[in-house]
Amino acid sequence: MGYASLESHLPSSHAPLLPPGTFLSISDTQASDGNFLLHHFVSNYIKADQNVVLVGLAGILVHYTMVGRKLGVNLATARTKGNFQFVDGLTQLTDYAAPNKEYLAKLAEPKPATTTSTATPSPPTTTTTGARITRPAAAAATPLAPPKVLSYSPKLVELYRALEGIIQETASKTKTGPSEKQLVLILDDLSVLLNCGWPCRDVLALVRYLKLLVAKFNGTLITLVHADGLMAEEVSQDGLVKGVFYEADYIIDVRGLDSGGSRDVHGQLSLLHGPGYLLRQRSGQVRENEWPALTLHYKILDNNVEVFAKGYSSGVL
Amino acid sequence: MSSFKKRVPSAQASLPAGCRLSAYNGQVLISTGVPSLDDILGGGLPVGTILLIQEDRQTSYGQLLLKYFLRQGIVAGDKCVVVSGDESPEAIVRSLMGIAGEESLESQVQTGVDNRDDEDEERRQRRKKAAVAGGDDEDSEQDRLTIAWRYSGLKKFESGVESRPPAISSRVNKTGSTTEPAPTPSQIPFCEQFDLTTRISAKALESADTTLIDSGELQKAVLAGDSDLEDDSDDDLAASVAGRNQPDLYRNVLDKIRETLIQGGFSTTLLKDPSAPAPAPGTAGLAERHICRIGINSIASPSWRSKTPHDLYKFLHALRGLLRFSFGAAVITIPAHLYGTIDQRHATDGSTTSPYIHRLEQLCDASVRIESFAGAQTNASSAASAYHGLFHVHKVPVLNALIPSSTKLSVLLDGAAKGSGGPGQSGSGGSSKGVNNLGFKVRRKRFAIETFHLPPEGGVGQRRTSAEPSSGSSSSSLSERKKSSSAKASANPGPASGSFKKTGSSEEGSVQSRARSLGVGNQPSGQVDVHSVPGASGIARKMMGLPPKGIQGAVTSGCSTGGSDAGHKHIHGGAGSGANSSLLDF
Repeated sequence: MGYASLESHLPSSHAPLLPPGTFLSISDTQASDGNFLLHHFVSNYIKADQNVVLVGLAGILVHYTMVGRKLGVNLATARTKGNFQFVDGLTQLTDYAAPNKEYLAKLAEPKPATTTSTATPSPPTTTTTGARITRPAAAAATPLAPPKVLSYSPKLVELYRALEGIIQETASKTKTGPSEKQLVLILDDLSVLLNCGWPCRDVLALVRYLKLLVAKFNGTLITLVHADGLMAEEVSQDGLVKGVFYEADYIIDVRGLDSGGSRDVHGQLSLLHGPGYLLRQRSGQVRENEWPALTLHYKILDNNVEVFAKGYSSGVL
Repeated sequence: MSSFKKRVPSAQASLPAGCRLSAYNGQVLISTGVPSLDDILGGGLPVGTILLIQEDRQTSYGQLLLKYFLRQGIVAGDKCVVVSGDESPEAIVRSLMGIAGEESLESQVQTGVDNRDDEDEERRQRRKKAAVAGGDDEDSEQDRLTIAWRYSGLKKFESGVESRPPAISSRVNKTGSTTEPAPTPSQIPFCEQFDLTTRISAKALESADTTLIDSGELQKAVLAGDSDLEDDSDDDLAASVAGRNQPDLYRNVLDKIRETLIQGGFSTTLLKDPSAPAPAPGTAGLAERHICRIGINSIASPSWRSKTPHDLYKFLHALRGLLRFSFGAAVITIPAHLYGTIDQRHATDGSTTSPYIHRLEQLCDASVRIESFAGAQTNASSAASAYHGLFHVHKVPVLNALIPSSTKLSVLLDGAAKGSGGPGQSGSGGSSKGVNNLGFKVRRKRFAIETFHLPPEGGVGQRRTSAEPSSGSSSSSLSERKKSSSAKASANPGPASGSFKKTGSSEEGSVQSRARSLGVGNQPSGQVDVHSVPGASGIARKMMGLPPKGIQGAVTSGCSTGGSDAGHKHIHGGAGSGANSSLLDF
């Protein structure tokens, strides 16, 4: 059930899931990593048998699998069922990951590409020009297809189309019964996109497009962005953080304690209302106290995260 | 006749050489060559991760850590990839340190010299004595506490990580015979003890599996465009493949690294020959695997020219993508002090210097910063000359788990300490931030990271009878401020020693006599001793020159060993408290 102590503070209308058509933005700092929140949502959606599309731009599938195991979800079975889809955004995202053409020529000679290779994404041959998802040919041979890989393209639009394809496929595969399943699209790290060279404007446009896309599929969007105070001096970094905040309905801001590190409290997380929430509130779409704006403290344990009110940590009481 | 069979531990033999499993979450760890750094990382550097070392300014301790990493790799038989631009990678490999107790290139035979470091030696002697005297450690004569006996049951506060005694018997070769069989993987120690005074032996150099990438050569090739360069040597792959399509230094270096990983079979996803049978899955196949250690010296130094500011980030991103699916790890040093202005340094939590470096840290799994005292502005150096610098830990690896293993396992980061601070919580191991300041010292034989603490005032058993000479402009400015704070301060320029003003009021006289009667070792000639006052943040301030007029005499120093406490209180007569506070504000 994710982190039980966090549950009570999340919007209760569709608990334990998020209301569809909304956008939750998570921001963190280097001292206080916001990664643990992503695991919470992944485990909630999987346990509720809904769809999850997780784009790992900075993390790998093994990481989520192992943490998921600690939280009680089995991502491997979820993948075979079709509920969980992992998109690899780490290995081939940038043009650096694509080897030079010369090097490819040398490599291509001695060996034929076989269809029985289990986990080998074939070296992409046209990455610098076209943009498509390289789907390993071994999908039929093995029970678990390797995750789809996002390959490099100069324009983020291609990335969007790739994700669109994946979402459509996931939604159509698991359409059983009258009710449509809820979907959540999680982008592990938006800062990676910005730092790899794509302009801030493009990244924000991608976020906007994705938000509308998932709303069509009865889903929510969750993004993680790094928002250290140190980075606020750079215009593009600051612009991304603020831009994402303006698009969001819910904001969870994770940062360290002002007074320094502590063994009992690892940091604080603030639940905030984004502009989208205020608009919806005004139009009457949300109930009064669905998402109270709070600041809480948290402590990360081995397989759980304790979230408590300020000053109420178990080390104090 | 029992049917019990002895269960043979089979897991140990199935790891690659020189690795071990993490006690916390079972990851495969390799050693960085420095035991205390291994401890900070939670047992070792996990395979598949990147450690970023932000270098120090005028010294090369960052490169020293890199050399430790490579040298440990050579001991374990790992493949070592050395990338360097400022120094030729060959020079780096040649200057690696030798193993403690082994013959070196110059055939220095350390006969009769104990191989351990001085401190460890003392500790071991003491323990040996205690063991011989009978009884276990707690009850032996030296260790038995007579006053604070309630504390005898607590664990000893470890300020450092002891290094493993080297396994000498299997290592020493007298004549470098080639008939000695290679040590099996289980015999290779996780972390060998090295000797900084010796160089790597020729035999070890020959058997080492290294790939040298000279980024300076690559840079020239990039700038020269399509021109051909002649091959320098067999080891140097610089000239052969120059990027024709997108001439870019970082890309070329990354291509080389990728090629090395693929050719050496270190990657699990990019296979050299997909038609060949894959190595057996599971732990049984791990024993045949080798580790690839990548060491990059001074990345992003001025000799590395990049096309865009995002190059280095993309390089790290792609390197992470490569390493996560390979049996390899990387240690990268970067001259972080070149990026960012003075204003951007020393953020409130003591963390990194500039946004540029901060971005890179996001992609690295672990990040540390070395700040050496050589030529430093602060006066901490003079007060703590036992240490060579401070060691800041910005990030520790968190892989496949919610919390890093070092919070549970690390001694230096206070993970293993019992939770004596918080009531009701026992040893739950929390955030490692802000628990200990760490400093490092480089001794003759090893590089050690320990908790940083200022030594007792005046040194143990040493009385300082004359103030030390001024060591920086900041200290004299402080003395200026102090002198001007008192209204009647005489304009005495701040030489090292002042003198009691014997003229004047009876108050002064009484102060002096009171001071003398305290008998704390003041010189009768009336030399005023001033010395450093330890500050809370570790910046020791020196107060020079005369104290303000109200506290004319009796600023003593060199307190005897028995009475020193942490914040040394200057013994002065009952002068006005206002003047006192200016002297005592720390």
